[in-house]
Amino acid sequence: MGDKKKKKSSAKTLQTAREAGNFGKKILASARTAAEEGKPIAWSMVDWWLGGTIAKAMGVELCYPENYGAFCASVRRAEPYLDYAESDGIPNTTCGYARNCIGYTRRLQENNFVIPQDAPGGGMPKPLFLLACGAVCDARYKWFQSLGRYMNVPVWTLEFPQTGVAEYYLAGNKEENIKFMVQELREFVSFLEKLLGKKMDWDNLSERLDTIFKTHQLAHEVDILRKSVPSPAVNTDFWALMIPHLYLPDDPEALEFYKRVYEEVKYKVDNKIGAIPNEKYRMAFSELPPWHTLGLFDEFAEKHGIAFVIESWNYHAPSPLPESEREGITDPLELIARYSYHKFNESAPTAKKYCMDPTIFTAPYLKWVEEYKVDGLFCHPLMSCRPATYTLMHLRNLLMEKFKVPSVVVEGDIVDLRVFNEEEAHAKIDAFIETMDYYREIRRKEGFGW
Amino acid sequence: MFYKAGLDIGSVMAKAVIMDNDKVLSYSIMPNRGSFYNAANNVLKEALEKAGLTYDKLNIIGTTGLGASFITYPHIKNTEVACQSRGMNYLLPSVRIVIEVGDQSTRVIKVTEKGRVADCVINDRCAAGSGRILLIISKVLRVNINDLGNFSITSTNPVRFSTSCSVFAETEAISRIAEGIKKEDIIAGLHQSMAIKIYSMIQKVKIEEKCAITGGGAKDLGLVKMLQKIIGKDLLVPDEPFISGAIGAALMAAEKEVVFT
Repeated sequence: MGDKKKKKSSAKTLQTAREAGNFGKKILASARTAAEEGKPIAWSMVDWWLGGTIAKAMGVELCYPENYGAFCASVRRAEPYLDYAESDGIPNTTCGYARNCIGYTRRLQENNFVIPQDAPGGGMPKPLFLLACGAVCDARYKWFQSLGRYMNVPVWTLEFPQTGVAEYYLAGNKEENIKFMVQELREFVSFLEKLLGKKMDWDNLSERLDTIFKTHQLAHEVDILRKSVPSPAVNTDFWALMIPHLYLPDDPEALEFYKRVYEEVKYKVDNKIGAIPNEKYRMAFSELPPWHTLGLFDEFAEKHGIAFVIESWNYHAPSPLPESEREGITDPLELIARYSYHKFNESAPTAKKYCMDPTIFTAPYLKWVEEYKVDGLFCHPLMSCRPATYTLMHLRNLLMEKFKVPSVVVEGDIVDLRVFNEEEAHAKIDAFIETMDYYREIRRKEGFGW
Repeated sequence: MFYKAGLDIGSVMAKAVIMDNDKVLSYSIMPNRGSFYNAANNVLKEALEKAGLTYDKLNIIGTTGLGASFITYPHIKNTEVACQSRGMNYLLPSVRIVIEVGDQSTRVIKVTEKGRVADCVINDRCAAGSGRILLIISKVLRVNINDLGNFSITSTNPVRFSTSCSVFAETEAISRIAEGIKKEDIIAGLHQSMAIKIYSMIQKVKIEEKCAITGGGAKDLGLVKMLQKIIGKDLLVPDEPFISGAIGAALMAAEKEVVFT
């Protein structure tokens, strides 16, 4: 046995991915600086660029508790917060991000809202308000309500229509949804104007939107480049690169950074340089990653030649908003609504084609398996997350039925290391190699293209 | 002559087979008694003695199981799933679904006609569906593990276990004893609870015409009968269910074509 210490975090394969973590540090540092300067700060959920963009246009500095949860997990310092939340009566089946955040908030509250010295990454300062969003997940409503009580700050929740496939195609349904979302955003603007005592800066908002579209266009083009064989980037690269495009796409620095990401990935594609030296298997990952043990994927790459070529639908930038949707739209709130709605429904045609529901977390993978030539799906069900779990068995069945692509199931958690078993993951992947070989042969016989 | 050994060092039992090409010459099975290292040495030694061979005659050694990492002599290690798949294909070539009930876990493996793994489901971190619960309950009821099956098949009224957790199942079994319920009904109830759990795993890989059971659990006639009833199919059982993994380990080592003598 060698003395080499096992690394838990991923080394990443792209230089830009190694640098992307700086954006996470920037988010926290900017919020703390703003707090020191007496500027407004809010904690925001991932809201797919709805309210966050508006708040930033009003001069509010944002922190992202979900990103903070991922960070605490990645440095393996989430467990004390999880324990602390659980000791306050939060069940261990509650979202890992929520438990981490509630534990942190309880500590913050008990320290008279002075960030504890030992807070990972320097910690998040007390917010002026909390920005929640109803998209995707039901646990998120209660999580932020709970935070509001710990800190005695207002919570604003943006509702997001969860459209079923059949409903999406009902005449007029989409426009009704957009109208609803615009109304939600307008009320949020009023809330902010009252809270901050100033008027909305519409020009600033439009500029930010323009930057978002440009950053996301690049992020989307990087996704397209990843279809190449061998894959120029892998899941661990993406999970770092997503920080700028998911949280700061309106930041000109993120846009400049993504130009470099694109160049790096394009260079690898043009020169047929794979992210991993010996790509033998191409896998997809669904849905939320085990942030505490990303080094595991490096081990799979080294041991079996597995490249995780696509992953985590909900973190990806959507394809650009079609011109037909943008034409004649002068209200930035409507543009925001249309864009977020587009993110959640752009795979509706795929869902319709395969007569399936829901679109989210499921239909995108049906496109991806073909486009990215996927040999197998890694399913990561989470005891603490229903939305990212309940679709997995359905997806697993669909991939097998429609494409003869097998899946391996490894249970775990995004933040909670205590319920993840690395050895089990290795044992399952070891066995899964044969399964992928077998179905590769079946696909060949049945005339699939990969 | 191409002599190969296969070892399956499980959490409770160590198993070794000696093969000459495709023929099993001998095998040995013994409890590991807390030392994987000793068990691996002793079980191989005994199997070699039975075959009338010595260690230096072996061309290759394949291993699998939880304790395989403790083996110090040169060997080729493979996963339990792949080894069971190969081993069962060797023993029962027509079988396409293998249910392996081991001490640590239960696995349902879909096997190809060449003995490859087409799909598999493993019960994760749960002793309630594995052989461990049989050991726990046999101790609670003070029944020899080998006699559980005989008790179970005489039951006319299996109790219903309300839990699927082995810790609570143990408590529940104690409560049923206190209520004066017959041992055979408690054991049959346990078998029923396990069979339902295993059946749900089978459904995930989709059932096939020919199914078999192996591992220590296959030696429990009560569990086998209950599974057959729940699944609605006869299950094939190898003559010696303990050694299918070891056979697979030997076969897989030979597949790798690494010969170290």
